[in-house]
Amino acid sequence: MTDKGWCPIVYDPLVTPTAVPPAAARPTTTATAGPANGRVDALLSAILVVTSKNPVHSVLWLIGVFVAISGHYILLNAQFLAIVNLIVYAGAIMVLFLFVFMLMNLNSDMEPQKNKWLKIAGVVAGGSLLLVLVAALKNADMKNQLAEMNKGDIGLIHNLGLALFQDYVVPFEISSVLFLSAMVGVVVIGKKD
Amino acid sequence: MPINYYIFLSLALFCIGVAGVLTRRNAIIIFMCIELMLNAVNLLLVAFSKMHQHALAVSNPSAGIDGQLFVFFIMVVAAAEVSVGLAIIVMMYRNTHSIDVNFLNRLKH
Repeated sequence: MTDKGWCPIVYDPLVTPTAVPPAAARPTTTATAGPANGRVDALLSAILVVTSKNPVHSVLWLIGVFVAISGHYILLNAQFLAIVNLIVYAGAIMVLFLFVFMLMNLNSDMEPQKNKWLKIAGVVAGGSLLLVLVAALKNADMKNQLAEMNKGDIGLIHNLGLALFQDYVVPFEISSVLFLSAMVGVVVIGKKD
Repeated sequence: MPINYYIFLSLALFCIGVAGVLTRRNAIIIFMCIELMLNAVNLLLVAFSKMHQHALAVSNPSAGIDGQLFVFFIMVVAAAEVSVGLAIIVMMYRNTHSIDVNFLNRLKH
């Protein structure tokens, strides 16, 4: 339990119970099952994104997925990516989705789903992909490869900023040009002619 | 945390996204499933970067920082993609008064 940065969540699943910090420093509810709850939350919310009839409910469940994934980033001590994920995805992109939904004034029976076989075939195709990938990776030799939790400082904003502006400054500038072209493209597409 | 937990969680999220793209006909929900797949890949990249750092921590203290920067650039590209895609969907709704992707199969109206 070394340096945690500014992050208040100090849960570490690999630490022994004698080294657990005092209860005031731990998160209150899910202190003993944090990553397991994160996995269940992410998967359940993702399934509900796909199966919700109402598109607005689907957007809200997708925000749940993003919050769960940000929790995983915090547990992996990637704090900059956790905050950027919350701000950009859950804060900006999802608001954009909701805004477009409100703008279109859709009702929930707008989606004609005539062919049941297409739906079944899609679920079977996705499940087959999952089956093949899990079967291919199930026996891979990664039993002793650990993803380091709550330690390491490569996810802090100081180190990421140094790497971004020293080694990756050309992709950074190119991404700014990409944003400019995307903005111009949106204005051109959305203009009523 | 062993790395295979993150691999299988990301695989499950990605395949839920694939199944959503294949089953739903609403264009905006298809976009949301694409976001789900991008986030599955992001989570796996961060987990692999921490695994790489755990393996190489003594020889190279900044090992694995490239993975997190790739996640950052994926977020940048995804934001630009969503803005352009939603503009195209709004344009399509203005032309056909529906966002069903089955109406686009002839690429004309």
